[in-house]
Amino acid sequence: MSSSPQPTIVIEARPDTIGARLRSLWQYRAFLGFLSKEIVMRRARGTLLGFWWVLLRPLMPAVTLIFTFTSVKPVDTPGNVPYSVFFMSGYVTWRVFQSALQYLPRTMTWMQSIMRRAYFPRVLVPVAGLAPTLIEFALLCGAFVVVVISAWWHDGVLPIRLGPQMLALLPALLGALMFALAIGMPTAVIALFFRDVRYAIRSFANVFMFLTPVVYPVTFIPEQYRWAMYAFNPMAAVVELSRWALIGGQIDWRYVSLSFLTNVIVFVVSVVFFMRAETHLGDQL
Amino acid sequence: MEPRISVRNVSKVFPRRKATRVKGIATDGWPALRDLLQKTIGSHEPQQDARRGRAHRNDLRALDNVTFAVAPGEIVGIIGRNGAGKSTLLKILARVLSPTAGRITVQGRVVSMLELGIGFAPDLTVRQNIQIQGRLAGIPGKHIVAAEDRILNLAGLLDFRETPLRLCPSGTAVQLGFATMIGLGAEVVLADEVLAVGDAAFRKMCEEQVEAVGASGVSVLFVSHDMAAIRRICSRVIWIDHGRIVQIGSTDEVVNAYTTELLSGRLLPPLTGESLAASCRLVASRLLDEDHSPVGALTITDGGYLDALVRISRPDVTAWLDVELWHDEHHLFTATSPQMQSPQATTFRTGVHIPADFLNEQQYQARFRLRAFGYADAPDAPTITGEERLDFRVINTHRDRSVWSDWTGTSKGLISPRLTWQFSRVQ
Repeated sequence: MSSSPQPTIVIEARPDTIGARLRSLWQYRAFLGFLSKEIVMRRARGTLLGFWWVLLRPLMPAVTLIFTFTSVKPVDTPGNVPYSVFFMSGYVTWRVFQSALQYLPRTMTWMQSIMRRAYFPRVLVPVAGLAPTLIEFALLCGAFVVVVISAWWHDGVLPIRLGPQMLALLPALLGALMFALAIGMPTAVIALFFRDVRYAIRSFANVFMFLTPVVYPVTFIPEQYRWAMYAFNPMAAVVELSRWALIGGQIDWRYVSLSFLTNVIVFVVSVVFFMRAETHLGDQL
Repeated sequence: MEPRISVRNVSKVFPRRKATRVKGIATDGWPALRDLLQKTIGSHEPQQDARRGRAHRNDLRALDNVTFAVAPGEIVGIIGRNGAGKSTLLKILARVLSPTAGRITVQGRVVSMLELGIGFAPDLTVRQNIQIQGRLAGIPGKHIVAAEDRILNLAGLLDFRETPLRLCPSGTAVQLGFATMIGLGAEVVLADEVLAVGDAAFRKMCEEQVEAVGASGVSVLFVSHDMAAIRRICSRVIWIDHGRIVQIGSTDEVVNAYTTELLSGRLLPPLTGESLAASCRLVASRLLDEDHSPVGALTITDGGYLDALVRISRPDVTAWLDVELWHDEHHLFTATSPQMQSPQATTFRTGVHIPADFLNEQQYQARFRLRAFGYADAPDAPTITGEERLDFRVINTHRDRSVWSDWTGTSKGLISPRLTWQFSRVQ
């Protein structure tokens, strides 16, 4: 038998302490890879185009929207950036949220049979559910580069602003992931009982897109209502930040901070809910 | 020595939920979700309720104040009838369920096989499956790699290392699950009904392996209904009923007490119409040829069987099977099987033989009816607990050999038995 030190597991009725949770997260870190792979493969399995859907799914609405707002009903963009570049600069992070909400509510249901049989920190399931989203993000960034280069070639002007501010894309990505988890984790739990949640959350994401300045610049919202958009929609700051990182322009840092504050609050509430529900999930599987 | 597993005053209460109807669709989603939300955000403290004995009357007490300890190297059998709480206990030890009250400490890593084919991803290779199982037990990667050959050898899958599990021979998942559980080198092994499947050789291998790891200091908790296996490998036995420990002690003592009790029928809840139907089921009805292989039709010149699988899961149930043969609206005959009864849950195969040269070239319907009664409350009339209808055709493939060989017209009649003729001249 192996000679590594033997851990002592204490099982009690009350939820695990934070320390115990963190320890078991560390212990099961390798399991995250397996879960992510399972979730990514889950979508590709049995499809003809397989992995290509990861790129096709976000690009189809993007192409439609870009076509609509350039050819059918042109939209003025701040700084006269080509609309396709303007749109994609916000869409890359918006799509993180939307795509995560397509996966997250199902992840718990997908992993149900494993959860019935073995212990691991359940929070790994929604976190692993972000894997296909991250792949999508990487591919969308590639698509953004293509759009930028074609606009550059067309107009002869580089429509983006290269520089260190591009690093702000990372906090924007983080914000999108946080808000996706905040919405996704409780819905994943509820989806164990009601399948409707999956459909509802998808429609919600579609509607929410138009409450977020993705297809239109934030200046379309009258100044006196803008605070409400930021306060109640963390994605507004995420999209604005990502747009600022990529193409520059005006950004109101007070609003962005307000929006991130909302994001953090919702995220913490959601994590606490999930952690507490985790203990009792076994009864329901 | 310090115990490997120490279970103190552990209780588990399941809320018993009724399915509600939402717009005509039965669902237990609402009560389940309400229950989860109550526990998660409500002020409701289930463990306090359990301590004060204030749980709802409707709730199911799956485990009630269970206390025991397991020393390193001990192989402990857990026995009891279905629904006694054995599996709940293992699931709590495996941390799939959390207890409602009490405290458990486990020294060391736990591998478990709670449901057959544990945690195995069919699309991943055998090697990856072993990796996952090892990771789930919290065993470091290099130990898993080191144990790989031993596991593959035990499971008889050395040639299938890089094969996706779904392409491996059927039954492999169970063997692999067992081999992984034993071979990973964890300190605690939890096995729920591992021996219920597999052939005799596999079972024998399982038993030997369990004994071997026990000898090397691994503690094994082993749930089984197979008393013979329990007697062979366990050093101590815990008998659970209604969530309480009835007896802990040496294997022979406890198993004897349990089997005596089981055969007396006292352990069983009273039979009701519902539980009678559940404990005596008509699993399948089939048409078999003379060689007992399932067929879609019989021939006139060969016989066959109208065959049924009957599952009887309580010792106090007596059942028998009626087979009626019908042709259109005509009832040809009824055959009644001998009585079926068994001390353990058993699946009976019972069939009535249809002789050759008996049925005609026709469409028939066999109606299987399973009737049962429990002698505990001795109702006047047996209850029908299962019914099935089987349509089949009898065809005449060897006309020259059949009873119709001398006949050029169509074959008429409900049946066509081979009858003999007598001739004599009357003066």
